[in-house]
Amino acid sequence: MIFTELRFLVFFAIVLGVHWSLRRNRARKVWLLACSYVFYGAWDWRFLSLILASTVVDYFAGVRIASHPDEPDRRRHLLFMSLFCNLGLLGVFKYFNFFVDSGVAVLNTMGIQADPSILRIILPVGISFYTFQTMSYTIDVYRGRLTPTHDFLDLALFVGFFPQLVAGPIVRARDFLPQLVILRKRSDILFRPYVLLFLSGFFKKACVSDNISGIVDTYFSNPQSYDALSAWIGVMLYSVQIYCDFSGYSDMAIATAGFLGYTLCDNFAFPYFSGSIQEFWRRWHISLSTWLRDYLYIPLGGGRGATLFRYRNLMLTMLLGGLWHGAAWRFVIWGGLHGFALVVHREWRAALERGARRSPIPALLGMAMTYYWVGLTWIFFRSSDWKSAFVVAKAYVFLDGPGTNRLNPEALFLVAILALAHWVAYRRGAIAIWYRLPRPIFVTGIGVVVGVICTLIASDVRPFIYFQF
Amino acid sequence: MKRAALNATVLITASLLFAFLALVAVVQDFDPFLTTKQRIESIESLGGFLNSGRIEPPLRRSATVELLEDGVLIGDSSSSRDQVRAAGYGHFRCLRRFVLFSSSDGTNPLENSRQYEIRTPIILPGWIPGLLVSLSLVPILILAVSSGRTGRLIPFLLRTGRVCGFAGLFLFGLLGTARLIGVAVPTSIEALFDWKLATFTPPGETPPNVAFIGSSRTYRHIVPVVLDSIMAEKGQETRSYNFGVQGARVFEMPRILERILKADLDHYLKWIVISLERPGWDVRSANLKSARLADYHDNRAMRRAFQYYLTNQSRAMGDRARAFAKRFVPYLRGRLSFSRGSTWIRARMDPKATRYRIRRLEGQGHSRGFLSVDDDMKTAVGKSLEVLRERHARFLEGREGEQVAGPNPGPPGRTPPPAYELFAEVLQDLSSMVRDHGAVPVFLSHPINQSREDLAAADSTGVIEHFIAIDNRTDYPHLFRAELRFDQGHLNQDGAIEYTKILADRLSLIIATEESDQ
Repeated sequence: MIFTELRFLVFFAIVLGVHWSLRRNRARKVWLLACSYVFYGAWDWRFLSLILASTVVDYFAGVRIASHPDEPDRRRHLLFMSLFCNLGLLGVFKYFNFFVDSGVAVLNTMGIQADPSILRIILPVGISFYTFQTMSYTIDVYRGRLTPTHDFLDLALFVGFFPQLVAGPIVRARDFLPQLVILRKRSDILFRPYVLLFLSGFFKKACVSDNISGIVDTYFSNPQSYDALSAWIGVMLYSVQIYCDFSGYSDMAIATAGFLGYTLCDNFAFPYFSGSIQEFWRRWHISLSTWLRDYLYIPLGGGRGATLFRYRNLMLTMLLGGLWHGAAWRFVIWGGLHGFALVVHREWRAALERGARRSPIPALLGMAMTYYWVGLTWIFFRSSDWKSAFVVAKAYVFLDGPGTNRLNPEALFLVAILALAHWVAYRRGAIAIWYRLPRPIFVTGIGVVVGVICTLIASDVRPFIYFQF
Repeated sequence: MKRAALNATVLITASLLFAFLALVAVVQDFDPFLTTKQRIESIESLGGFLNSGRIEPPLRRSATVELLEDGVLIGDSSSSRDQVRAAGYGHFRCLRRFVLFSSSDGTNPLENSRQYEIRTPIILPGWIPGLLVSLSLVPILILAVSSGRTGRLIPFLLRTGRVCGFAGLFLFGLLGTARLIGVAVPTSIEALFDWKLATFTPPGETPPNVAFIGSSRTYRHIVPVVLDSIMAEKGQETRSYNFGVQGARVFEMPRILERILKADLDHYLKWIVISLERPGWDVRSANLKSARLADYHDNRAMRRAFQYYLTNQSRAMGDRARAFAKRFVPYLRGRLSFSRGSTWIRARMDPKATRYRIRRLEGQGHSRGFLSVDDDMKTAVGKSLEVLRERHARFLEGREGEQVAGPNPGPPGRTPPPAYELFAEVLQDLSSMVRDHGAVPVFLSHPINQSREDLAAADSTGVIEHFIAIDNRTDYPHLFRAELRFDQGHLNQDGAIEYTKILADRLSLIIATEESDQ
């Protein structure tokens, strides 16, 4: 069930109607949990068992860790047990084939023929997201930053809450669990911002991303036959596609949760207007980058210690962040390129600080450079194989395309329009203006927006890109 | 307490009464049972058994008209002018403003002192059922909000009114935007038709006097240049134009015809040849997203579809409901201009996109609206080309020997099934529109490999005066030979020329007869 499908809208209307008609908080939670499992089961009900297993393990781990405050070894063992289970699920279902394939490739290069009789395992939707959520819960309990919940229902709903279950944002238990205690009234909820957020996300996904995806697929399926301009068009369109796809999903997830009375964290903040790669990571997939910072980078040592040690931490975090996205080396390279850029940026900033100088690069140029680099990294993220990736990268960097075919340059006009709309929203807070409109104008405007969406909606519904992660 | 019960009873009775009347009004609209009589005035004898009489005021629908002689039902309404003239015995044919009829015993109505009337269904204005439904809701509303809490009635009504008002504003924004974008960005079929409308009267030239309308069969089969040259050889001056567009079936044709007639400001068109195909009602799942369905499913077509599904007793109710629901999807898509902008944007960006190709090429390869399917395939790219190739290949694989595979048109003499009333009604509408424009309607059928029973039935409705049937394998075996065909449903370039020649011969006879009558 995808947010842009009619069946989801029907499903959600029922969920919403029943949710607000229930008067007791516990009844609402039971209802939401049941709906969340139905939502997930619509893909493959068998994988509900993984969510349940993860929830059960972390529920008991959390309770037991908290009940032994004076036994650090026992607490540590319980934590490792939880991490082992969660990472084990991830390892088996997401990375098993990848490691076996990589091992076979290494053996083959050494001249040893290995038979890759691999158990082909289906990747359960959203496994990366909910395992990270459950892990953060146990780690926070272990660190003493969170009191574990003794209500299994609360934890199950935290893990399985359907708006964010399959593609985030990666919610922290310390932000979400307290919300489950409060019984909200419908009058407490400001629906207007959520209506706008949902429509904005719907537009990004169904009207922008899905429309662009066809041309992006055309280019990346055979980049050898296109020229350098097409490489630029293809990469720019893909950067728009993935942003609109993922941020569109996040917007709809936040709005969906909002309609139900729950607040999820922001996940995007106009990342393509970042003046540096560091800023980009503060604006792109915020819930993941903060997770990696809090549960990987800082525990590794963070920004403390010797220079090389710090850069090692950074690179390791980004490489693992890349691997989180997908079980393929190209994602690792993607993470590595971002890590490299972060290291360079830190060096540059340190050099400026040492000389007590301001950056000589104007803000706009900084944005362009950041966008250029991010575009280069997207090539590895999107390409289906190494050969294609290098062909596109060469055309993108050296303006040297191998083919003669050309994508329609009018596509750049479209990108420009989208960038302008994005800029207006960024600078003016366009959505905020809507909040203040008189109700009749607001309602008519919503009708207009829905009308525009209807006419621009792509006829073929495509799954969200991040579902595969 | 008693008083409250009495009030409730009165209100519920009133509500039920209005609901019943609403039901009656709805049934009357779809399956009329309330009728009115009109006396036939100004009777004239036209030779043989044929008489004519005026109907005042003109009828809105004449397909369900009955003829009464001294109050007794007589006649067969589905008769042609010649049948009435030759057979008599109550045969009649009703047009909007006059009726062609004969007496029940062959006597002259001017001399037999009998009174002739026509009986027609009472047609209620479209808003009557809506009003009655609303009235049936009012007592319920009053009952709901006033029982013990009359003081809340006004706030309740205000709140309800506000919600309705907001819903109206929302719909205004939604449908208005969809309409605006729909006008600004026509679908590919609309684009083709718009192009044809824009080019059918070339500046400085005499506008065409013959128009062909119909589906892809018309588009691909009729070569105006060939037709005009043959007609010129026969001493008949015609300038014809092919308005065929893919998917335009008979139920969608009034809309197309309306636009053509509107564009013919000076009434140059004298002959309008309308292609008939089987009256298909059900939408195939594969076609649900087709732009042509969105184009053609206007309110009129949907009204007829609803009428058909409601009244066609030969199909199970559930089956009809499902079929209607399926048809409703493309209608809704059309109303909302669903995905229209998306298709346009994707076509602009994708070098291989074929939609809107016709717009880009500005009718390249067309000759007065005609484009053979062979030539179309030469310029097609991408998915369009794939579809054409696939259909052609499937045809080549499926053919049996020299002849085309597919169902036989049926042995001669088979009794055709009765025409759908709605089918006859549409044909009547088309005929009336053409006649009112001052032109002559001619109906035409094509050599396709489908049963022609429905078309034969159309011929028996009595609405059709001129019918050119070039669809019979027995009479036109060469049109079914593989070398003249592109696929099961379409002729190739050579086939189109051959077909046009036959059409020219048949049309010239009709023109000669009609001109001699005048």
